[in-house]
Amino acid sequence: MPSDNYNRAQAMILDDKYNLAKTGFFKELREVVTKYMECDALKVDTFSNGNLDIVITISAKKLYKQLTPVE
Amino acid sequence: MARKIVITGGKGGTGKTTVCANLGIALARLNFRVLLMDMDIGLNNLDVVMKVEDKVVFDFIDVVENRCRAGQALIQDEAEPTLYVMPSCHSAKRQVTADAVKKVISRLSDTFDYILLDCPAGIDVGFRRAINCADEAIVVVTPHLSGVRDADKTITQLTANSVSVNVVVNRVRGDLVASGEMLSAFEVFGLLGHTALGVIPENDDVNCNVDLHACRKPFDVLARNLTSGSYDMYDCVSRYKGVFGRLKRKFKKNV
Repeated sequence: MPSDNYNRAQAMILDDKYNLAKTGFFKELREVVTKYMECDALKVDTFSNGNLDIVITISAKKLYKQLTPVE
Repeated sequence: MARKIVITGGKGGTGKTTVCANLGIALARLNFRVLLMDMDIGLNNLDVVMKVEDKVVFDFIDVVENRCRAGQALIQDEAEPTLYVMPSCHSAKRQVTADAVKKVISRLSDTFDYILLDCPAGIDVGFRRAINCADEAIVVVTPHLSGVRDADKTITQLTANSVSVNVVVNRVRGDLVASGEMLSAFEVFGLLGHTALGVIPENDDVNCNVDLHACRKPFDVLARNLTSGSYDMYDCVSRYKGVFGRLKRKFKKNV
């Protein structure tokens, strides 16, 4: 079980490396998510295990079923 | 032909100069001819750590600016006859380029087996000058969040300049690692994702500048790893595990 310090250090390093906030990732993610659901919270965690793992957690209040993508 | 290794780390206070000095001593004990070169113009301290500050006549800026020969700026260590120090100075009148330093190093390259370059803190001009003169780097990092973050940025710069990177975790407190309050050396190696070269524990004698030879064992392991490519890590945690270890931890914390 990794320590809090380890998790903080890893988040910091990944943030310095990829800087998702600066790339506009969060803004675009919010736009996509709000198209399909009404949500309370949206959380993005990054982990590195060789590849970069991005875990997106959405606390959805209500899903707009009529907007479910057809593809 | 000497191996030219820059000792860097980004953040100040990680122990770059101390690691440089002690690694030089450990390599000299293995009968290698070693040159320690202070690349920090302005905040030069290698001469102080090596206790030769009162023997400095010429420094490497004098060599670069042709006021003396390279050999005249070398100071031989009293305890280890194969170990030499080339000190730096407080200021340089003209900009010292990496090419000028490279010329000095190449002149000394056949005389030594190892040339260790003590890099200044930060990742600006002094850092770039130092890494341009080296083929390999030892990144000295402390197991603190700020140290790990700065080391990661330093490694990014080094790999962009095609310098091969080894990592040394310095100032590890075995008691804090055992209680889970400090990042372990292996966690730091995992975070930085580069070759692990050694682990150096926090040492009061080094902190108080008492005796450079006090913290001998971890640096001997480090020197062996560097010269033979072995992968032995000094264990400073296991003594703080178990019932007696817990008592030691408690005692150390109360002190």
